[in-house]
Amino acid sequence: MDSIAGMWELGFFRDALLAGALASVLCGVVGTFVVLKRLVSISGGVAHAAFGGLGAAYWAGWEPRLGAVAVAVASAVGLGFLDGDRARRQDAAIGVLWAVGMAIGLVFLHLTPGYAPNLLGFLFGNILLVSAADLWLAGIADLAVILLLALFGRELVAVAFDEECARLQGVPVRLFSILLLALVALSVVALLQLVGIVLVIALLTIPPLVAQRLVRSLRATVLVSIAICLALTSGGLVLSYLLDWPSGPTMVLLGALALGAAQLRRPRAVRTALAG
Amino acid sequence: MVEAALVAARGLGFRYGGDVVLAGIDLAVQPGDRLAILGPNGGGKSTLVRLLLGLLRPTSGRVVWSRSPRGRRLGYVPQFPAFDRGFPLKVAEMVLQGRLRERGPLRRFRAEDLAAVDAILADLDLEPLRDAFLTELSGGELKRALIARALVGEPELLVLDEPTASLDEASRRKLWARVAALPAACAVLLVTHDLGPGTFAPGRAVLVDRTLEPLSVPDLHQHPLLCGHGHG
Repeated sequence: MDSIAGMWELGFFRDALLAGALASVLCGVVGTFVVLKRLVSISGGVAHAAFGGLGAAYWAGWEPRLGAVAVAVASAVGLGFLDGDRARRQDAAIGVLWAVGMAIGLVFLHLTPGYAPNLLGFLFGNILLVSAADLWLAGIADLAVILLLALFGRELVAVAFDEECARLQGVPVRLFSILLLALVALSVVALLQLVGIVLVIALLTIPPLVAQRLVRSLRATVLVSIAICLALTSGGLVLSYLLDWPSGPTMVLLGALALGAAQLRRPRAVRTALAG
Repeated sequence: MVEAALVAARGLGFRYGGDVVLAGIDLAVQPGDRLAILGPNGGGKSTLVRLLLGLLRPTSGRVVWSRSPRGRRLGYVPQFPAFDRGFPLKVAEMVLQGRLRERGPLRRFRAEDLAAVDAILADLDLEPLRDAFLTELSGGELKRALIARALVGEPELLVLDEPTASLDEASRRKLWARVAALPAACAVLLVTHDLGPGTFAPGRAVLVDRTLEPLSVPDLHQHPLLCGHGHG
């Protein structure tokens, strides 16, 4: 108990908790769309492409996060133009982005004189090293997500559910698909400092997957995903402190446990069909 | 005549890979048309209606609409839905998506949108299922929910792609009664193999099998491509 009480005295620990809370909104909202619209592999590709932007910006002496945001959003928008009939090309493009992004990042890392510990931190994340810039980025991403959901929630849901119906209803499907991917890109970069590029997909997918086992409606799935992500980030943080484990992997493993436990829950009773 | 058409196909063609699915299709759909589209499996019927709706891009020719995309009021019941039934939506929420055009961007659904959903759910005997999730529906119930979504927006063009597959007899009768009661200006395109008496009353009919040829409506019930007739 003394250990836990002692944690609260630490400023960086409180910052880490705040970062976890801000990230939970992204995980809950954007993660739900990622799972429902099956954007998991796109998110992975964007996350790894972002590493190229990080490396290039770091080498050029710019703010690495800006490089990551620029490349992640550009990648997401590019992939958004390879949908529909070109889905197979999109799948291949994700694979290329995934590998080339990492390769570019590692080459720039190699070209940058000296050791680049911050950049490696983006690979595996360390929420305890979260900076004011990270908190601002997560906060801005939260605001962007909440604002867009408030303004265009119905259109985003329509596009995520059934693009054909949305198109026939006059919804600009490509615009909203790209907007959704841009939100995924922004979220991925905002989450990098917490769990890193390698593990970011887990934080976007595990909370909605657990939530789907617990609740049924879309609204409830989003809200429960936010709560689960909050529990994973803060619980993982405390656990990593107590066990002296790295924070990102601890959060992900805690999430895996939660997902396993949720799978043990009996499937919800399904209404018997009224008609044959 | 083509100039007055709601939508027209001009020299329309579609290839999938190296295979020609449709070639040289000319077809004009007028307001109030009741058009039956018949043809063998794989003949290109569904492709044709999807091209007319703008859901596919033609590989040759073009589709000409009398209105801009924003001005069109379309209802579509696909042969196979393109969405994931695991998506956490209730029947009423899905049907409400058929009123997105009414609402327009940045505006909430209004009381008349919700009333329209209530009315169509009642019409198609879906009221008991309004709060059911899509995963809970049988195939026939889902088809009825899709029909409700297509009708709720009061379309000027209603496209029904084999809508009676998986519907029981009572639901079929409901559907045809509802289609018969549509406003006279609403054009209906029906892709079907099932055109018995007391079902859809087409004003004209076409056969689509890579190309398009008109069919005589009075002789339609004897057509070998319709269920229960010919050699099957």
